[in-house]
Amino acid sequence: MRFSELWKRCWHKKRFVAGACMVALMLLLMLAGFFWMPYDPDAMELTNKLQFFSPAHPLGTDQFGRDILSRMMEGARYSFLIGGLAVAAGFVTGGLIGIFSGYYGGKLDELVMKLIDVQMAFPGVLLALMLIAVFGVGLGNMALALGIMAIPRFARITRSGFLKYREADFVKAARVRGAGDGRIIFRHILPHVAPDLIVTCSLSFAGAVMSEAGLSYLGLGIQPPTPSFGKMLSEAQASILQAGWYVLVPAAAITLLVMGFNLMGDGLQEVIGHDR
Amino acid sequence: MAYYARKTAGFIVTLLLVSLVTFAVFQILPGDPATAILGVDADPVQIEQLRHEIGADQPLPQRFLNWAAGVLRGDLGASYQYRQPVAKLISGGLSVTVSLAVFSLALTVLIGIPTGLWLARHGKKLYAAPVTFLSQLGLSVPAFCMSIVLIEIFSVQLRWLPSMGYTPWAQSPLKCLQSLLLPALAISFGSSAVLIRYVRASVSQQEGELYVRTAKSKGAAPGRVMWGHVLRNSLIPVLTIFGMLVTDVLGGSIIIENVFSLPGIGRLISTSIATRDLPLIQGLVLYLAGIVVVCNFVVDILYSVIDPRIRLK
Repeated sequence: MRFSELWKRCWHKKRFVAGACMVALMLLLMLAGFFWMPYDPDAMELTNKLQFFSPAHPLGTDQFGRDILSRMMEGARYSFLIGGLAVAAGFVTGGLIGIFSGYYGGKLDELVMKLIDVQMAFPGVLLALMLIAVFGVGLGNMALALGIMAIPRFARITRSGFLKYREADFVKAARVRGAGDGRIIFRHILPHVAPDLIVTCSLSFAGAVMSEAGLSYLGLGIQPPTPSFGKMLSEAQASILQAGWYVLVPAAAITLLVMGFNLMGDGLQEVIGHDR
Repeated sequence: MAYYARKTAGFIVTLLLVSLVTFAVFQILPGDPATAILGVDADPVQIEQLRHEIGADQPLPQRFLNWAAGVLRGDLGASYQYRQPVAKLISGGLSVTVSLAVFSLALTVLIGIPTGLWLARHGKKLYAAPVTFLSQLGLSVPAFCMSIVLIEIFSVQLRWLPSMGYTPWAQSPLKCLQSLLLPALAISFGSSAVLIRYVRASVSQQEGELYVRTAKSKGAAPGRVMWGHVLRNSLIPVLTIFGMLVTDVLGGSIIIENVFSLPGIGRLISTSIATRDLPLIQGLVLYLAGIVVVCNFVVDILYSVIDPRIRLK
């Protein structure tokens, strides 16, 4: 299936459309922040703390009197940045590992599968926590850790795709015509695996956003005063007795992003599933 | 028999590789442990002596063997911060983490399997939409997000349940369950959504099988077809994701324990990272990963006992 067709069919799937709307909302919030923000996200106003929603502060103010909407606009940048970096790292590294392991097979394949098994033994954010313990806390290190966490998923999907198509008739035909391995891998097989990889990108993005929020919540991710959804949640929890509504704002933002990407992935999967 | 031998060999290799990875990652760390303990200004002779004492001057493979031998004896080294054996600290937190995990798993099964079965039947109906929506929400709301919302509802607004702290079972079973109910609910909200998906898909798949048509054409009532034929066959594959659920629940508890200030392994991990207490982190990571590998192995073996066809594949 060609990409333009895949794209067109996706818009007939309710799940994909709903997910795309959620992601678009967050994307818009982030993009608008580059041109206009109601307040400086770091400007404190202690006389005005934990104010409920009002025309002056549409999403209220936090425990230092900072405008929550402005902080959400800046925080969204980091969610997208970390998610993007983690997916890119997982896509490139995991994809290459999967190609070699699936296309060439043999001992290398066994080793890769074993390593993926090993990686699966580290539950949730444990692997990322271990890497952060070694490399130290910080934005770059967290992106690296989440990128490494995303690798096995991509490797597995790419591997199973290449395993399926490497003996296919169109590959044999290409080989007879004298195509080299590089051409067969990238021009002939990869386009067939690509839709599955797009689904994986979408789901991995959701996973990375979720893990980033979790790590930042623990204080091991993005460091204050830089706003991030996870950190805002822990700040909201600290002032839950005075301002219970504050919790809902970052929680809704994380949910919108994660659910948006999950639904887009599900919708895409449905389209690909029908095609087979 | 060959099947079990192969599975056991794979299990041991995985365990070995997990410990190798855990050991290797902490070797990337720049700097020398002896200098880290004594400080940069310490006497070089003393540093050399300590290096010798803790075995840091030996070659890498030797150090791994020493460490692995220690692990097998139950000796994971001593925590820098607490000045206590790591093994002792872990066993202290383990009871909390295990109670939370068991409670969450029980809730997951109690919610997940009936809802999955119900959705397989009624999923397409309009009145099922809220349930479908909730299970989609379960897949997307991170457990720690959910727990703070639960705190807001059940602790702050309704004042039914405590928002933090842990009461040991021995002290008061009721209070223990109360202190674990919110965290377990938060974890099982997500993991039961995963289970619902699998049960639903598995039942739908089995209902298309030929033996179902045979049973129906013999005149068996729909209830009999469901309970006597479909259910047994569709729950077997669900068992395979049990290993995944254990991983999910344990992974979830790392952050959840911090949200509710439960003194378990997850809480130890985050505090030990904040203080860079490396022997403790290493021990904790190895322990959690070890539990996951063992659980997956047990699930594999159970699966092949329940469904012997697996052994031939």
